[in-house]
Amino acid sequence: MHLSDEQLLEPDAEQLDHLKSCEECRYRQGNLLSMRKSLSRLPELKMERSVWRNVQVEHQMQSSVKEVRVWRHLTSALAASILALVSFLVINEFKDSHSELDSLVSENQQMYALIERLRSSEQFEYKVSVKLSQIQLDEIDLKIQKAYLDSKSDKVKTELWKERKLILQNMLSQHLEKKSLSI
Amino acid sequence: MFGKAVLGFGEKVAHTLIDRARKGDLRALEVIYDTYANACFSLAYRISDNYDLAQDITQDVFIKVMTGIRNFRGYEELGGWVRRIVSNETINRIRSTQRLHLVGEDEYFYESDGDLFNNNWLESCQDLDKLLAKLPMNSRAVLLLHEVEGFNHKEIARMFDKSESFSKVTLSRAFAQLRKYASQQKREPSNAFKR
Repeated sequence: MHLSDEQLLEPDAEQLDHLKSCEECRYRQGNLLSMRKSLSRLPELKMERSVWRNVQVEHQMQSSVKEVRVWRHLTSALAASILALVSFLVINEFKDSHSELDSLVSENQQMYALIERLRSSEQFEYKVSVKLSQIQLDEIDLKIQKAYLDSKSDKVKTELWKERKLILQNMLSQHLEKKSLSI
Repeated sequence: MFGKAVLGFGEKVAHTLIDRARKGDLRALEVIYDTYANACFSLAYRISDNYDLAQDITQDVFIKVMTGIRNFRGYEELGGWVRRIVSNETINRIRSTQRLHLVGEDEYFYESDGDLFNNNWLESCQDLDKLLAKLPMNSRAVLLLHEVEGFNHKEIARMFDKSESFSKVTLSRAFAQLRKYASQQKREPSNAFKR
């Protein structure tokens, strides 16, 4: 059985084996190879030189578009990074302001507790200045309560607690002054 | 319009030049263009039979080459790589512009009479390009891709997004049509002295 035209055009391993032993198929294959040679000898057509310039221009345009895309991507990434950094700082500041407020409240409580202990042991003298400080303390306590009720910012609350701390420090220093004088 | 006698995808380019081209050296890229542009244009033109389209395809092919060469690995296969790009590009373009008549599934059962290669009927052919231009575009494309460019049926089928049978049938049919035109050309009196 000879090879079909289709088999001759792209023989598989078995068909190549057949070609080795079949003179008629080899002859037909020889004709095909000659035709293939003629087709391969087709003259090359010449390309217009201007196309290279077009290629360069088009390539540069595509590269520019790509660069712009990369730049846009980078700037977006940069913007995102800055935003993340700012958020981190704001959150930290928020945390810091909270911790400052917490420690101020704690300090105020400790100082007030000390004054209360001194008062209960009658070691605390109720001088005019101390009484004035107590009025100031009552006022600031009202302000602090109002600040919490009005949901004022931590900054406002911190300032009020600082003010209260100064009043308490003043009360204690007056007491210590009196003590040292009496000694 | 005619230049060298053979299609130049087999031409080699110096390794150092390919390295320079990978780094974006325009002079090196221009040498690669000069080496393969005519081969690309010849293949695109012979398949499409359209001068402007073939130029356009060649332009697009080299834009792809300029971009893709950065990632191209291997020195010896540069011509083969460019050949593959131009072949795919040409088939895609003629398919998208519907210039290509694709054989229907029912036409896959075509089988030649088994006498296509009993003699070298192409030997006495006067103008092979003229003969090829008479073939339908799909026959011309498969014939050139298989017989001249060395693609196998599997590769051609992939390019056309068809089965291997499509490539086999189209190829043997192309040979049969070419033989018919060749015998007609032989019978026609020479036009040399016609006005």
